[in-house]
Amino acid sequence: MLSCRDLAEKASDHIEKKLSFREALSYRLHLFLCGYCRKFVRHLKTTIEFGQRLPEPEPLSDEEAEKIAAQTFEKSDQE
Amino acid sequence: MLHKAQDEEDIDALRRGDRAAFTRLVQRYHRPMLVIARAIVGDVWAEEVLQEAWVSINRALPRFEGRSSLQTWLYTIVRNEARTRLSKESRYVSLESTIGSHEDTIESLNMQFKKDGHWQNSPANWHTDSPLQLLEQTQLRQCIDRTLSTLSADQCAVFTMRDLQQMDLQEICNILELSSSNVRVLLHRARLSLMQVIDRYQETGTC
Ligand SMILES: [Zn+2]
Repeated sequence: MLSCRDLAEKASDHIEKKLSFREALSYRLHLFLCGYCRKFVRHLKTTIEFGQRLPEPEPLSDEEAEKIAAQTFEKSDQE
Repeated sequence: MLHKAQDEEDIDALRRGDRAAFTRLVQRYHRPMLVIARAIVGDVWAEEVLQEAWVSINRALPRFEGRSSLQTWLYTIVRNEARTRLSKESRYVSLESTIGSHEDTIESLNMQFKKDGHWQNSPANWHTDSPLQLLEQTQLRQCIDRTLSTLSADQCAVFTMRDLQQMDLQEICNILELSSSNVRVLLHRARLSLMQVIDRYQETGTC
């Protein structure tokens, strides 16, 4: 029988659909029986969706990007 | 996702060596590429590796065939440059060997369980389960930014590629040359770190 600790460890794998059939079955059985783990998984899913909606790293400013492009072209010309 | 559309629009110009298109490419990808370089070579050399990577990219672009996405192609070049740098510095440490050195998150998750593996206490109640509502909380966002900056470099790279950029897991494994299970461990730990921050925020309104 899967413990709550095991379930918490495997939660991302389940969400990413990377558990074997048997593992997924015991995962779902545990979840069915355990309110604490259901709450944990709900929070994890919220967290993942939250993460997915965070903005990507700020793009560079025009000046920064131009500086890097200039360096790159200069170096490429030398070679 | 927006990046992809811009990539496609620019691809012909990029192949021709158009400088404005190249500058836009730098603008879009420099930061995420830095995250990947850091995961492989660490902070000290990451910037230098990127300079070299951009030169290689500029040189190779005319031959880009589009068999993978431009993003994957760029990340693979960064990976290669980073690896070359590592071997030059002859202190080659594979990413695999550094996994397991960041046990804090797992430790604090473990503390929530009794010896028999049951929860010590119920996970805290959250005021809201809505990601959108959470995203609106400025203070929480600041807490999260701070947490992201303290993630280990490899966790940060995996989180950036999987959750922020929603890349395919297998692609991430290929770029970082990690096994699927290791990538998933890193991903799970990063997510748990974020979850802890949200947990604390929900409970105390601060971080
Ligand atoms: Zn449970």
